[in-house]
Amino acid sequence: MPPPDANWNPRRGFRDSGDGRGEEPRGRRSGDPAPGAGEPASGRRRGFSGSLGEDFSGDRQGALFSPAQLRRLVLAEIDRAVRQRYALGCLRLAVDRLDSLQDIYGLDARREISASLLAFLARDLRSSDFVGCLTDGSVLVLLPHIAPASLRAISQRLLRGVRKLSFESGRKRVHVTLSIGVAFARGEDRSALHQIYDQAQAGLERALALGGDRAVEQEPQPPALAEAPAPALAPAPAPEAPPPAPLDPELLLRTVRQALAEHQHTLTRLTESRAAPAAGDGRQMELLERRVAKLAGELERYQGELQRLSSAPGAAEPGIRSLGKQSGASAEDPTKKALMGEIFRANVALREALLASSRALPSEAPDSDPPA
Amino acid sequence: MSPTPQPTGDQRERGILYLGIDLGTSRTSVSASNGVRETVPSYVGYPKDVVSKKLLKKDVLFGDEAIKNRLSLNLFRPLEAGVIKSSLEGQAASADAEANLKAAQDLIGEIVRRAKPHADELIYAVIGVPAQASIRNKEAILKAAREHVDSVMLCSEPFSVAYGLDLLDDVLVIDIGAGTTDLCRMHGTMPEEADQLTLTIAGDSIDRSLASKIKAKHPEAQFTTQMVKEIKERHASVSPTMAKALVRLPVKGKPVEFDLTDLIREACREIVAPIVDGLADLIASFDPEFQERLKNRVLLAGGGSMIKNLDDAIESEMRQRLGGGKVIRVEEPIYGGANGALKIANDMPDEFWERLR
Repeated sequence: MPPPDANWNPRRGFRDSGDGRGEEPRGRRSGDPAPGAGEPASGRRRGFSGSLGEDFSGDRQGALFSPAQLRRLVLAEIDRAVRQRYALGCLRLAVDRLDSLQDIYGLDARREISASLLAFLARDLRSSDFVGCLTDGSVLVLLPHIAPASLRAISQRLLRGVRKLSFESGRKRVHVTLSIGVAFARGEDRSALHQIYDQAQAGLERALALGGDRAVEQEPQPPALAEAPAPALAPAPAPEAPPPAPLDPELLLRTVRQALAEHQHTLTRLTESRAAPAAGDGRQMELLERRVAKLAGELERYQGELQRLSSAPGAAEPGIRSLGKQSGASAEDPTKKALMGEIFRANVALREALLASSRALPSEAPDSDPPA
Repeated sequence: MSPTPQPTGDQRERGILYLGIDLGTSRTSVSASNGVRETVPSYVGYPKDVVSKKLLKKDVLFGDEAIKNRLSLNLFRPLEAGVIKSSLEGQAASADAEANLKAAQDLIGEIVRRAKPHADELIYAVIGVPAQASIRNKEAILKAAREHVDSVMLCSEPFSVAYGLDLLDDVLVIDIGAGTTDLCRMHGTMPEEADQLTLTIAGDSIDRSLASKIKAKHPEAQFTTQMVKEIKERHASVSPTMAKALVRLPVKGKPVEFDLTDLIREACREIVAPIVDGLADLIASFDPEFQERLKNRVLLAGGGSMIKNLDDAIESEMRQRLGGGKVIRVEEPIYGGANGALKIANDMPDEFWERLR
């Protein structure tokens, strides 16, 4: 799944080819030697497709993109990898204990560390790789045309490189380390490509959980769990998935909202494309239809998960229905009836006294107390 | 008086949850007509800053959870002497008064929530208040309760205890809470002003006394009011043969064991004499023909009644000063008030509830 909320900080500019199809990437081909076995790739800047109708032209170094724009950028890259059948690597990087470092050394230190990390990545990665800076301070890197061995070599090189970075705070030298989640998908494996972000995220979480300063490669989900390819036009049925793992309800709600928004957006685009078909749009429409079907399946799955959460013990309880009045014959006892009448009258008198005092000036509030 | 509004069909279909609430200085208890019974220490805490809010992941904490995290919280004990602090004399206009009222509202909201009302039910509640609560005290409690229930009535706490036990005739009720000790004379009718007595010698005064005694005898010991309260709740007894109360308290950071047996017994005994004074007043002003019967039907209720041997100590003091007496301890001191209030809520005709909505 694409990143939920992020600001893209492309160190390369984006260029709109203007034809709605985008420019083909010109990085290394799959199977090439590790792209950073030393030399950062030089040369032309990475082009980005403008097929989504967005104008991403010009150098956006340091520019902030909305989460929706970023999502479309990542999706466009994945779509391109699917179309062109090239392999895609995804790295999710986070500086270990960055929040703690901020607590100790301040916000400026955090900014300096983040900026140094981005500068280091800009130096060390190819010009064809995308680097995105997420709002939580972590970084997303998409590496097209890469082999698994190269991806591992890059992640190890990044780990070593960041260990060498140091910062000064007063007399102290602060060293930082990285945690990296690594995911790889072959070009022909469409479902793996669509899961690549989630895999990298899971890898990063695992790396952080293991103490950081390491890269963890997340294996693709087994076929039974992987997303089934959707039929071309009909919505995908809810997959026969195993019992879902417990989720944070807040996170689930956010995810559902995003999926709904994306579903709506894709449907709108599909409707527009159908209303005004243009030459060369056939492939694009097919992709959109598949996307809509996939999102419909996802939404069904989320709905099931929400139902499970709402019926789980400890979830918002429906309450326990009252058994009604249990007094039985005791309420018929004349003594008790009289007592109830007295309690009621005392409460009525109390309210009337309070009403009267609220109308009067504060100094005229009654001092006497009606019996209750 | 306005004409009686009849419940609509919609209201009848929605169902009614009746609640009996004992809004206590130390604990707040609820008994509900759906079978739920809950008690929560009367503490409300709000995170001090964004850091603590992020840490605690809550806007407001109650009871033991609030006590446990009190260093990160602005902690309120919204009730004092059995009433909301905002309604106490001299506090009405202060910012603290507003905060205490808000805390009391939240506390009532929490206790109602813990009663697990069904979403489509009306909630009718009877709340016990100290026997001699003033009109301002009652106003504050009503104001706090109206936020969370559909209809509410107030009732004297000792009366609700007696009503819950069906002891309405010739009974003397002693309800020992944290803030007040209420004495109430029941004689088959609604108790009047002259039938009730509220003493401020109660659980909190025992805590204060015990704290000053420990400070005097062991000045090196470090402790807080909360620690003293916990010590009292664990060891409280007035028995001459009570088990040794060995308590570890820090001295300059190092835990040291202290024998507090005598101090605890002395502090707990301090409430006996004022209670018997109050009983003597109520008995002496009663019809002489029924005084003997009244003396032999003294009901001991409230959290303070859990002090070991307190019934024997009061009986012994009554024998010396009143020539005899019999004290009966209620079975459920914590829920006595709430159970009685629920019984009142059950027995109250629906038209009365409707008219107070």
